[in-house]
Amino acid sequence: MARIVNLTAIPHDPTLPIAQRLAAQGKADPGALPALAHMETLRQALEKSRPDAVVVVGSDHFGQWFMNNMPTFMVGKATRLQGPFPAEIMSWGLKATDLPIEGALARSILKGGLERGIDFSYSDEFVADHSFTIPLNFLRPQDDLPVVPLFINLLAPPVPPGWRYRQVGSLIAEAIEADGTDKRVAVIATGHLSNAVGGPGMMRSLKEPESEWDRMMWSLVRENNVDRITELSTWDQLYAHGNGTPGFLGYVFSFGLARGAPPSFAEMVATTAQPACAFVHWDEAALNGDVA
Amino acid sequence: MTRYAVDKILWTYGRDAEYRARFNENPAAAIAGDELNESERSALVAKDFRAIFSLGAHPFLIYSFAIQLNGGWSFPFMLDYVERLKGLELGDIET
Repeated sequence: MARIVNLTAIPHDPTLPIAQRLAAQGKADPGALPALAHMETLRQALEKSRPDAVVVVGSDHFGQWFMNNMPTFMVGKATRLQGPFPAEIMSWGLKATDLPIEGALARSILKGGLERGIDFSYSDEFVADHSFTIPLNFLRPQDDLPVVPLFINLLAPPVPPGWRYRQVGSLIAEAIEADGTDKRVAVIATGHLSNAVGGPGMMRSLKEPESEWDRMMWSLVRENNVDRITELSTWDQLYAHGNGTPGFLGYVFSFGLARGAPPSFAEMVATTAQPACAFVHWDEAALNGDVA
Repeated sequence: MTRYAVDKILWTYGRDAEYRARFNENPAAAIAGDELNESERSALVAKDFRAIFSLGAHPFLIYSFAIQLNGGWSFPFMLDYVERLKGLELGDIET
């Protein structure tokens, strides 16, 4: 059976690649350096896990999916993952990304998910936006692995409650493991902590990098209290802490995929350089429940 | 719900250069055929972000619209945008 050998949940903040370029010239905001250091640690962890393929879980930001036809959970099964959108490349200087899609694994996840009760949408034609390409560029800059993109709706309500993101993560883990191959699979998920892009709270992180909600939620992450995290992760509860905070559901999804295993690495970065962000990682031993 | 039409206008403005040019030239004419209530129509014609936000448009779409209207993002632009939304509470944005 295929094995999940690495699970990483990281931010997709477009200012991080900008900070990475500035850091190379010694000009980055010092507040961005811890985030860049964690990206590098997790890049090495991914490399060490020797994956054959990467499942990358992101959320379209109205680049293509809109309220005329909005998928909640969707498998991308085109032949290539291409992105991000030209406007994103232009605005933030992002790297154009073009990777082969591991079609057999994509279909195993799609069909295995359908059999397990996930009413997946699927697409054979799409663009992967910055929420896919930024995590991939940080964690696998050599662009040498096939991928499977999973789109999860993190910003266009209504969305399911947190328990469903957790359950879908867990069912996808089962579907990967029932793939019938001996592939080593890495999963990269992404999301937000408190976040208010486009809302009245957008500048709060400059004055108060770590909100009370961030502290509370992060302490639950440190305790691996997934039940409580899930209870607190409905759209309304998250939205009350910033219009982008429902992006935390991406982390809830990763806790589901870990199926209760405590992470082997968990760091929050809360500085004025970017909104608070979370770096959570499970190595293979952690995923198997072996305490480090 | 007419809120959908507001979001659709903001979305289309960000991705369709021809629509953007028409809207820039005459916003009232560009949205004349859309199913909107009077508050929504006047907020869009006035490009009044505060009013558009209060009517329940999606914040991410309003922000993208504002960036496009500004001709790009800048830090002073962002400060001005947030200042316009000062004191507002988040409300329902479902369409």
